[in-house]
Amino acid sequence: MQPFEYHRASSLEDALRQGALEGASYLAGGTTLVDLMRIGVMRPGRLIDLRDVSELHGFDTGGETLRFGALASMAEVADDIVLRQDYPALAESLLLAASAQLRNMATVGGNLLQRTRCLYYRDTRYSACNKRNPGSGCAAQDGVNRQHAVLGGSERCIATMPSDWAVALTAFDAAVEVAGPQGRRTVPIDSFHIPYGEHPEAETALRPGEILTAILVPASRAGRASCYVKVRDRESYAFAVSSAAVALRLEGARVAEARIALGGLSTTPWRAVASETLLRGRTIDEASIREAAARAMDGADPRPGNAFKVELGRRTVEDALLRAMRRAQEGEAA
Amino acid sequence: MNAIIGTPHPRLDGRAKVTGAARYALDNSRAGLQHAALVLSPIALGRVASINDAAVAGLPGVRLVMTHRNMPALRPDAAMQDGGHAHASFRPLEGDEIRYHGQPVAVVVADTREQAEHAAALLPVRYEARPGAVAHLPEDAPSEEEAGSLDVGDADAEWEASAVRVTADYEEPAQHHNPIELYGCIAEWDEQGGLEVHVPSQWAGGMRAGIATVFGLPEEKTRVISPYIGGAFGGKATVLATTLLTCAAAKLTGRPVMLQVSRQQAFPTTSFRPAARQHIRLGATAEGKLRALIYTSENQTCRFDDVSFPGGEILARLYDIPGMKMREGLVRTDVNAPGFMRAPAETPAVFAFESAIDELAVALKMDPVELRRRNEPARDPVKGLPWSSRSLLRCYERGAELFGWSGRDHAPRSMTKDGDLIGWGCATAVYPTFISTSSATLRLTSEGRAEVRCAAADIGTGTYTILAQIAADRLGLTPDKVTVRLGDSTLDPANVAGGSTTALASGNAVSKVAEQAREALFKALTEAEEGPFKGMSPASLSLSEGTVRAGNVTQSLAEAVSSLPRGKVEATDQWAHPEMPAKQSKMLWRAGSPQGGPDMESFTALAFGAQFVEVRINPRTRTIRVPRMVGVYAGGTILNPRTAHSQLMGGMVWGLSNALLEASEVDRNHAAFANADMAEYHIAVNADIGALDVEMLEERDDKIGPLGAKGLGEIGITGTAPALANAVFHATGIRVRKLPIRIEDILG
Repeated sequence: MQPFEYHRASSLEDALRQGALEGASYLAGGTTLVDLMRIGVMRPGRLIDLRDVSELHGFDTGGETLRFGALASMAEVADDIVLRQDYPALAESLLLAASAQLRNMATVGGNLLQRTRCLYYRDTRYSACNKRNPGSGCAAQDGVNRQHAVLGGSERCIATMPSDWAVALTAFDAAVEVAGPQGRRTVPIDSFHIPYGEHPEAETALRPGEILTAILVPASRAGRASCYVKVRDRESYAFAVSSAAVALRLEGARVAEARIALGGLSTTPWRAVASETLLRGRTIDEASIREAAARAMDGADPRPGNAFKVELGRRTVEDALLRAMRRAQEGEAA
Repeated sequence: MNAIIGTPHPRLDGRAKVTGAARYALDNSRAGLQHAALVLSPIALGRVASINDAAVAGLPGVRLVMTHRNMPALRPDAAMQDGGHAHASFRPLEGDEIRYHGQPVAVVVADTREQAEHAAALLPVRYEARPGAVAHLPEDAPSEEEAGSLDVGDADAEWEASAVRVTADYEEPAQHHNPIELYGCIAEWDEQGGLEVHVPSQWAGGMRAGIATVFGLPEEKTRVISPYIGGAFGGKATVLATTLLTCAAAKLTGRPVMLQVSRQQAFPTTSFRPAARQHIRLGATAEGKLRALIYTSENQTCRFDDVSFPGGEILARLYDIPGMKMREGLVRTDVNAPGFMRAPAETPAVFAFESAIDELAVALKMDPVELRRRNEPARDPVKGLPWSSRSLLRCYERGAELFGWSGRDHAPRSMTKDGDLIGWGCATAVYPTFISTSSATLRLTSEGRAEVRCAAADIGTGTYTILAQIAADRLGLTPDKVTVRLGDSTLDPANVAGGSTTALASGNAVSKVAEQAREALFKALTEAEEGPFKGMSPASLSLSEGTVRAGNVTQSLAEAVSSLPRGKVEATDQWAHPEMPAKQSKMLWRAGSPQGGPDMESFTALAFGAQFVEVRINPRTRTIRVPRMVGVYAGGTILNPRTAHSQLMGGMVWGLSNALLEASEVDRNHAAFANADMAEYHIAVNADIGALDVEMLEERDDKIGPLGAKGLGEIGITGTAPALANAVFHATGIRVRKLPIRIEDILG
């Protein structure tokens, strides 16, 4: 591990001041950053610990906009009764992630900033990684890439965005609140994680020195009939091979609103727009669900090691839509 | 059997382990300890062109940069399968040559671990790479070396005459052990040139011999200490290069040095289960009587050692097949040396063969349990010898009953539950009863206690507990009155804790010396010049409940031992099976690894079991989950049902992991094991394990030794993967002939 300085910020202003210094990196739950520092992938010279910045803590799921302080832990948010009842997809995306110990430490803000699990990114013995060493190439293109993205990738990078929470937030049109040297701003979630394009090393819309302060979710009546389906090889403690966050609002048997976002398949949280469009106004049943799911992977560009994910992605959406449909129907019956 | 042997006595070392009192190898920090960090090669083939050690020599705390230029000269030691004690005959840093990805090229020693790792990360190394490295088992690779062959009858003729035939190819990936306790060691040289090594070890005596050989030391000046091991599974049986590097670094700095090998670094620097491929032809009559088995296999090894685990010899003992032909080969690849991993020969071979048996049952439209019933051999089909004991069909009967097998609709895709596909499968579990030898010392003390000394290892299997039970049984004590010392090369020699041999060999040795100590005590008490037993016949004395008795005369064991001139009674001896040749049993005293079986002179001995698995598969995403598993085993005398249960259960849990999760994925461009951490190399977690029933049947075995206990450390893993694969076929109609079985294999 590279030697570093440690500063515990006393306020947001203090944090921003310290964060402007050379080599600074913000520390929240530490479940990604500390790991990556230990294996030499991230090498900040200065850590600014945010834990004492009180305005970053806490969350409120009561109003017209749900607001989650960046340092609220995954565990406490996942346990929120309102979230569990009215937005099960959001709660499930947190509960199905990591392990109980990690969810106690990890924060909902840090979760959106966690780095990819690409094994070439995480192992410094491989020189070719455009994320770790910009311009060095991408060993995953014809390497071990079963876990890699089939949507949104490029010849420069096919690393998946690993956050489940970001996928669920994307389905609900969330936004991210940011504070920086130039003041505060709000970034819609679907432009927060940026497409890799020429520069896979740039993952989010955060500018140097900026702090993610809160996550905002507009209240949605589709939340109740929502679910997060996470497909993985083992039952717990694994990143998604594929995942889908789905929310439905029915009017009678017709789909008034369909929200579908994909994870584990793409370089950024991926909205399955074609599937949503196809469902809107249609009668919900297994046939329409299958038809919508078939469009979920439009534009996929697989490699030999992950070609199965194109079909798996469709099946994941189908599975999630069926569950959401049952929740919607049960909700109406109740 | 009486009330001590065969009772579920709790682990004697359990409290020490859960309270943290147990000191594992790397817990032995000490004054002046320095810390080592490895620098690993990012190329798989080539040489080190230059290392600029001066660039980091001045960094804070750095004491040593050890490379091939200043590495102390080592003497050769062969790999264990070639009669030595090393993991591999090839050792890094002896020259500039690089033969596998992740090979250590330098060791940096500093005052703290962080300083050492920082300097190691910054050390400038230039490499000259050679192309062409291969770390995977190439498709259609011809075998370069024969690993095993076996012929019974005329397999080709039986195959030609078979009415029903199955031809299938199977494949298993390389896998790494990933014990909870990482690899590493602490080495310290004393002023007299002696060397003390704390290293997690399945064989303190063997590691001492190996380290002494390499450094040219007399064995009495070398000590290996390893009382507790946090998971070994075969990976801690041999002397790893990282151990030698730590000893060499400590020699150069003149201070104790600790190396902790990280999880990532463990993948290239330790042993692993090599990749394998099997081709099976299985023929039977229309009634399901097996006629022919033609079995060939390719097994991965490295370039420098022919590490082989031929499984054919074991498969040949499962069923009555008149014609068998086995040809097993090795394929050399550019990897570190493979090695032992729980049931090394059996795990891949049994997966392939028991899958093929299931395929045959499908072809015959026959209940797979019935197929096995029709092919039960009365004697060992290879040697014609009688079985020491064999209860395979009883295991199937009981297992089928526990599982509810009679409710199975044998047609594939016939069973569902709540919309999910359900599949039931079964397979035979088998592990040879290897019969080793061991010595032990037992001392009766003036406190009325017994102390057992034996260099065997308790690798979590329960050795401390069963040896205490055996001694207690023979001495009329409770197990808590017995102190057992294990895992130290200064103790009485025992064989490597491998091949599921320790319980029988060291158990019999302890039994023997306990009886000798008891008889010596009786003799001394009756021959004493005074005391209550003076002049009596030794045969009239007995020992129970901590008391020496002769008729109405009693004396506590503590008083009795105290009354003797030396205040103690001690017995030392070796147990060896009468059919083990003396030349072989003597090897124990020269750090050899003597082992007989499965066929001895007059009998053949294996442990058998039957495993049943239910899988539940999402019809859309094809996620595979395992709601329940049943394993029924017969292992002769069960010395401690609690620890035996734990071994069998652990084996089945790993079997599930083997079937569905574990694979060391090779990056072919770099010839490297790429998923080198626990985030990418998945093992089963608690949530993967549903109901798991383990039962042990009563089985009496008088032939394998006085305790009659077959080793149970490895058998549990062997039948799980085929039972699970067979269940996946039953659920989906898709036959997966490779491991691990993943979503993409059954997406359809």
